[in-house]
Amino acid sequence: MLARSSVLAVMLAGCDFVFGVNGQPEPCELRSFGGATRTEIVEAEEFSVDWDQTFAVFSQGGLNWQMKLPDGTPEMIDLGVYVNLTFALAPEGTSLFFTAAIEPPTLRGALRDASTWAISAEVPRGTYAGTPSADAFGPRRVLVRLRYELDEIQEYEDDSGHWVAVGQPITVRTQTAPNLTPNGLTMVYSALEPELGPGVYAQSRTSVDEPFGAPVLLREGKARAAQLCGRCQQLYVVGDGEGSTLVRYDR
Amino acid sequence: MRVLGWWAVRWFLGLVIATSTASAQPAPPEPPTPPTGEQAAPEPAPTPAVTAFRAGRDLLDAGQFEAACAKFTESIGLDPDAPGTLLNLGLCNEKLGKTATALAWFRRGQYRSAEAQMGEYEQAAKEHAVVLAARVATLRVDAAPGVTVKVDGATLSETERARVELDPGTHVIEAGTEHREITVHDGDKQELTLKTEAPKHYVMVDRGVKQRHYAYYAVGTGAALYLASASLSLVGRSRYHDSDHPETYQRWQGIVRYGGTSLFLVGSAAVVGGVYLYVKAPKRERIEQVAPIVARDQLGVAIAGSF
Repeated sequence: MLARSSVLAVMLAGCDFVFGVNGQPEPCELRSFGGATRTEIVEAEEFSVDWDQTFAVFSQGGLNWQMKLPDGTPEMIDLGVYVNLTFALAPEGTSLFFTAAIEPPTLRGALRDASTWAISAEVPRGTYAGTPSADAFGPRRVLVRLRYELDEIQEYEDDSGHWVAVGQPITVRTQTAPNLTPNGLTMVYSALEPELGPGVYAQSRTSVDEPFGAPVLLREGKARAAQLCGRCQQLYVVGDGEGSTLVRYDR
Repeated sequence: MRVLGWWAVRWFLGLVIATSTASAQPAPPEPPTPPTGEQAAPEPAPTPAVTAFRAGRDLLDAGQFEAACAKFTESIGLDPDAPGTLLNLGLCNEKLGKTATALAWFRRGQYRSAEAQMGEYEQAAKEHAVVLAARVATLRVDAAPGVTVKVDGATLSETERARVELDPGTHVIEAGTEHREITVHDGDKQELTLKTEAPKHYVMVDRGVKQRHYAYYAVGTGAALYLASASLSLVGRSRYHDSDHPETYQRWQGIVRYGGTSLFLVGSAAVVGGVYLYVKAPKRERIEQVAPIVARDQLGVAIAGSF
């Protein structure tokens, strides 16, 4: 009976194995967004969106806003008295890292309860945090820029509500912190690489235990707060042209 | 025709009586006697058949039997049902010694006389036929069913081979490439066995056509299931790789795993079953056509085949 069940199980594992649908998270394919469709969403200086691309938090005119995507009405939110420099929503849209523009810039966290935000979340040590990975893929990971004036990026892992550093800091030439995709296997950032030139770059790894690979240029030119969504089919940035507008690229 | 029939009856009866009493001396022809009560009517002009018949009678009386037969043959060609001409054909051939030919004419004359209710003619023809039938040379030909047998160029049916009546003399029997000559005399009873085999006529019989159709259906179904499996798997793969959500791509993994694989397995079973049915289907057979058998001790049909 057991042998028969085993044979049946092996046989039924055929098509998913053949077609590479093995249930394990994989890094998405990194390709250029040159020639991708550009869609302007809202005037914003900084922003972050959830993984379903249905909800965004952004700052504009020194104030903080949230809105439903793609064309909801912005609602002002209260994240304290300070101007905020970066936002990083958890993929589920339920928690938020943001950096308050005080001296020195300070990383903070907020939890969403219905339509309000409570500034009470524990945050890792550092200045800027990128978008963390999703809970569904295991303990949440996040990349944090340790100091304002240094390019050192430290990865942290959520250990039952406490952020624990994982591995050694790496150098990423970005002004803030790289954003992770929901599965934690790809990081994307806007960089002013002296050798490569300004642009949006991404690096992938096959598992969260592996180091990131070489950077891949996704889009040339100046931009900020780059975030990849939809298995790297959409790229969100601000400040890629005149003024400051949240823009989505679809390829 | 009636005129000729009446003429022929009188001539033939006269001849029969004469031959029976004068031993092969033909009786002098009697002039035709018009029917009673019609003496005043002018005699109608003789038809070509009557003319030929009269000429034949004259030749017969003159002992020119061959020429007489020719005239009677001419006459019977013009009036095929004249009993008197038929009987005279039998008579002249009998005089020529062509027993079988004479017998055939007498038989035909007997039948025709019976049909025409001409009792005297029928009786006369019958008497001659009985005598000649006892005397005629016969040949039995044994040949394979389907073989065309010819005697002096005339084709025999398979039922006729059991008894072929022959005039005395030499005859040629042909069967396919086989060629025999035999000489017979009155009273002979010969048998001839021919070894030529019948030409084989084959027909194609396909007893597996239905099974092969089922095989095609099964393989077609299998191919369709393969296609469905591949399509489902490709769609699943696309959805799997397009989603960031674990529950989404795990759901598609399950769909591809259980749905796609199941379709593939069922399709494989259908293809294997189809191939099995095709391989096991009876092959096309080439068989001989059914042929009748007529032999000395059997009558029936035979079928033979090969594949």
